[in-house]
Amino acid sequence: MSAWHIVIKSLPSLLAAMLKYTIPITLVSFALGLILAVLVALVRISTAKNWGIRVLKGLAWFYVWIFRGTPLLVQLFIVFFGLPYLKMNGHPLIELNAWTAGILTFSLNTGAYASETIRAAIASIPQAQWEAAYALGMSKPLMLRRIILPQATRIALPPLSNSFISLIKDTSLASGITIIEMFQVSQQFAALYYNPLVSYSLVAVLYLALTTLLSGLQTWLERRTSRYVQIGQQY
Amino acid sequence: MLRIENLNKDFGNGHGLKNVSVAFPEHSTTVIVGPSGSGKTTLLRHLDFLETADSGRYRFGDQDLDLAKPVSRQQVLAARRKLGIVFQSYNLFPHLSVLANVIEAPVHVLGQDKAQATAKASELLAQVGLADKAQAFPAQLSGGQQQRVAIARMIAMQPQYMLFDEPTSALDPELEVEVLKVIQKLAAAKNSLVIVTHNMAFAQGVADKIVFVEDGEVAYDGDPDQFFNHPNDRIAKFLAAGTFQADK
Repeated sequence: MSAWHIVIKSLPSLLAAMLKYTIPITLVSFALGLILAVLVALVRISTAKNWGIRVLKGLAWFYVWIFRGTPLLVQLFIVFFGLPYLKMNGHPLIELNAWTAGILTFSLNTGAYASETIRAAIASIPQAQWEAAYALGMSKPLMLRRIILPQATRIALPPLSNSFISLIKDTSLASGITIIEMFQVSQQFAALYYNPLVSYSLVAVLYLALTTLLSGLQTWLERRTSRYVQIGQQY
Repeated sequence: MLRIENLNKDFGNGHGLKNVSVAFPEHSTTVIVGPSGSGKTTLLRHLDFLETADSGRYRFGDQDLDLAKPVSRQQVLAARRKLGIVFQSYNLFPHLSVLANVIEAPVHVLGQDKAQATAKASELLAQVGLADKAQAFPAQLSGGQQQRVAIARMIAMQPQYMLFDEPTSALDPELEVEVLKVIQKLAAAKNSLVIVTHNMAFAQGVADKIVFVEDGEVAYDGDPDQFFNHPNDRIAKFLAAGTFQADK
């Protein structure tokens, strides 16, 4: 069977897997991860001294430490294969289906990295901006929402785009926990047609297409969020 | 009336304030002068709770606060909403247009109607000579223009007192004049102003009261005429430095 033939035969299933698993897992996990990341970042930059915040800070540190410090594949295996062995009175406490385990792990992993990105972006906003907002009588939540986070977004955008692109590629690891995502489908075709080079190259091209699209989106977003800076530079 | 009494602040580096008591009369202009590092700016920043005092008393309208104890967030907000401040480095919000900078706090802090706030902001921008820059971003403006936007942004909150922290120190002489003219108008209209400045000619022209700060202490507090025309030796030396001319 010619390489071209293999491509024609396997492309529909690969695209279906992309639409059904790769893209949704990426989008949902990134959205959840981002929400988590903002919350963790806010906890970590908080200057409050009360016990509640101290405990939260400890938890946030622990969470980032674990999820940045261990391989994503290991995390997936623990959540999907490992957690059901956590038993009480002989009954599993937590049993997650592959989809839930995947989303949960990808979200937590992305959130750990993105929280550091967002924390650094917030910290890079000059103290003078906080003071100007305080002096106008703004409360801290209002200031974060209206003044600090919009500026931090511009700074966080390139590293967050990196995380997003990594996540798309990392969803291929979901094949390890029985999810029939795009890479898993390509493995099946590699076995079916005895041509791993063509099958795996084809799936690589599909990942590349997705990440290229995203790079374009990143460029567009960066231009949009940097308008107020670039105008100044032209001027 | 806004006043602080027996204010102490130790930064642990030799700078700070020692037992400072100053009253800032309403509808008049108080100018704080003194050598760099003397504590002028620190004094001004304490008025707006941008610094935390070690001890002292803060009295402003119905607020009477013991600064040795932690001041609640509500008290700080209540004080800040009666005060406006213009910073040396303008501190405009770079991601917002000039107009958006001015209406940001009126709309989101005071809850004013956006159309109404916009109308008021346009009026204020016209007053500071920037009606045509409403849609520009801060990065497109000169320093003098940015500082005038900052003044409009402050006035839009209708503060009882307007604080100026070396508002023209970052500007060249021409741009400085643009800003000083605006401040002068505010003083002439009998607003309550507190100005920290190194510009002695401006201080003399605009002050109803002079506060001279040195080494964290108030070394003079009173009449500008006495300060400029009949100074003691120390003040005379300080003022003379301002009239230094290089010999050929």
